[in-house]
Amino acid sequence: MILILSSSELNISVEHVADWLDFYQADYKRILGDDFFSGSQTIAYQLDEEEEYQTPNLDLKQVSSIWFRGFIRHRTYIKNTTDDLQTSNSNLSELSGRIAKALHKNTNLFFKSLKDKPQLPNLQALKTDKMDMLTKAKKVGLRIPKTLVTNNKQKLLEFYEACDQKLITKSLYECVYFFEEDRAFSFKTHLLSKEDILNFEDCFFPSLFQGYVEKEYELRIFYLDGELYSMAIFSQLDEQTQVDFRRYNDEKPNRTVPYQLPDEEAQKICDLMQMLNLSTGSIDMIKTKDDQFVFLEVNPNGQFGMTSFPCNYHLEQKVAQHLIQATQS
Amino acid sequence: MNTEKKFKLFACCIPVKGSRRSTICDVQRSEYQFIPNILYEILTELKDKSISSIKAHYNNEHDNIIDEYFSFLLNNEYGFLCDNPDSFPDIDLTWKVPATITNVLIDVDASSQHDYHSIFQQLEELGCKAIQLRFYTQHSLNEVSDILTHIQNTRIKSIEIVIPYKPEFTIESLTIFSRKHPHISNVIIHSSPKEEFDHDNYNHIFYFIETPVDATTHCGQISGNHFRTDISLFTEAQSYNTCLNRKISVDQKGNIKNCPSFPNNYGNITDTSFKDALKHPDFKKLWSINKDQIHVCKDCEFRYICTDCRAYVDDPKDIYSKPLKCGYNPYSGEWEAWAENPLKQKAIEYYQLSVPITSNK
Ligand code: SF4
Repeated sequence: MILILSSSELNISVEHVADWLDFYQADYKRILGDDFFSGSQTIAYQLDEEEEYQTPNLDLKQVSSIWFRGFIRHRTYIKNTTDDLQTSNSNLSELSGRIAKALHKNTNLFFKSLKDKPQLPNLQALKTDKMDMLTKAKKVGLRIPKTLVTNNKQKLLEFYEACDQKLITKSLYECVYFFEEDRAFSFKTHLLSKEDILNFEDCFFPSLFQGYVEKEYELRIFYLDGELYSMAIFSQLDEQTQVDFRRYNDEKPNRTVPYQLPDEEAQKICDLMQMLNLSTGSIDMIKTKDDQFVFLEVNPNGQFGMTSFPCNYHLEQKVAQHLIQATQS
Repeated sequence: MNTEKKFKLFACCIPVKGSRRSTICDVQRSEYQFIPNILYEILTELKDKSISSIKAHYNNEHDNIIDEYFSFLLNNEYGFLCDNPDSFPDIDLTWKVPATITNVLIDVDASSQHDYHSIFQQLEELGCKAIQLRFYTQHSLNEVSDILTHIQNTRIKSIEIVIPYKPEFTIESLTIFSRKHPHISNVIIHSSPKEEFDHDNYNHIFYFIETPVDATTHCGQISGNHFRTDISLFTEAQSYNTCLNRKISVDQKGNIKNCPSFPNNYGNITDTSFKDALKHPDFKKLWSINKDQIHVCKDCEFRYICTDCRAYVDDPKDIYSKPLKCGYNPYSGEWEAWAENPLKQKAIEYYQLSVPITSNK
């Protein structure tokens, strides 16, 4: 049986892969991280038992391969705890941080119980952070942007000059979206001006800064098991999307077309994915005007529908086939 | 413009040659653009040449026009200039879906005795995600609701309902009804006293149209309004029929057909399963008749964004003849009212079509 782990949020890629699994009549089961909180999954972890981690409604022995597409959003369970709690905001945030940590311990127990099964991507490899990826990318010979993590204004000003006065900042951790009834906001990539920096406090929240890479186009590459499916994104045609193509222009969406990465760069990506122990992921790169390829990041759980659909790559079918093959091996 | 560079169309902007003119089908932005056939030639046969060598190819006699062409294409973001066109491969136009049947049409009238539970159960097994329910006689929303309860807990994703007008059909009642059945994508109320169009906040669309709908007058109309420039239709049209491929239909009497407008059937749902009907050697024959095989259509610049009809064709004895209800002539590039075309009168008589006065342009 194929086990699909996902969060309760609508995930189109999961829907489409499930359609293919149905089509191939594969045996699969979908569970959500939330199931462990809603009562539909029971956990029993008892040290004197022979089998340490037990999930009575899910026979782990039946699981033959795992597809990980996210698990849980903290807001689902934190809300119950904090809704009618009278305390200061700072206590509240400390509390949610702590609960989040405890939850991670819990999920890790569950993931550990799955550790001998084929996994897409490897659950342990998911912990890799941006700095780690960039360091390893450099090791395999990929070009990376000038990068700094700092909390200090002076250091940042020096870095600003070193980057020819073109600087961006982006989240050190993942990008997420927050939805309100009438709007949504999210972590995005921002271009920083000198004025912005001068307005900072001397000491600020430690953040990630990178030299802005002048691009001809962006590349989004889906990696699955040694195969690359690349797409070029022409975000430069449009001012609205020049810094970050996720700032969509709905009227005239960026041109997104199939791309053939030079063999040499493709090999470096494969080397990097091996070094990171990742069997799948979405890679962001930039092709500069002077024909350089600059690596930005790997997202092990990146949405691949946005690459699959415009390029007609049928990646959902390929993922389904991969999961089925993993089951048979 | 640097004329030493090559012009590359974005892979999602696909040129299609017609007899008199061509189109660029922009399957990403869902638009098409007419271009002269000479530009089609430049964009296909000469695509590996730099702009200056293209000009030289035409003995530098048309440099201005060629410049105009390329500025037009660049300004409208149909392509870009580059040195390495090989880095940008074409889109592989293979069409694939994880389903044996992709769409189903179920006709209903007052005499119908369909076993909906069994129908939807079977469709679920065939991977079908889209359903059209077409009512010819008046039915209340409650009756329709009862039918739709059988769809709950299936993976069916979109339902279109076509039904004759009743005074109880208001935007309010339809909104409440559609919220109960979230898979509804649109409701078309025909034989309505007035034309109206509305939608609720949940992406359900309601059309009120005056024209009555029955299989013979309603179906098979081809007009510019029906063109859809998107990648799924464009790829499907390369190898399959854009109306009948992976379609199954059930007529009012429960007969299983390719389309309710065909006279022949493959058994009745009371004694034949869809799976068995599909096993009949003829059932899938029409699925692979694509536009490149159909007379006239094969010379038409709309052929991969157009729907098709095999039930009403110009020559009822030739299954490869052009859809009867298309008034477009790709050899002149002009539309005319199909029903007035003297060459079509024989076929109109053959099918005993009562042609609506507004026989569309
Ligand atoms: S000639 Fe054929 S392809 Fe062209 S518009 Fe008519 S039906 Fe469509």
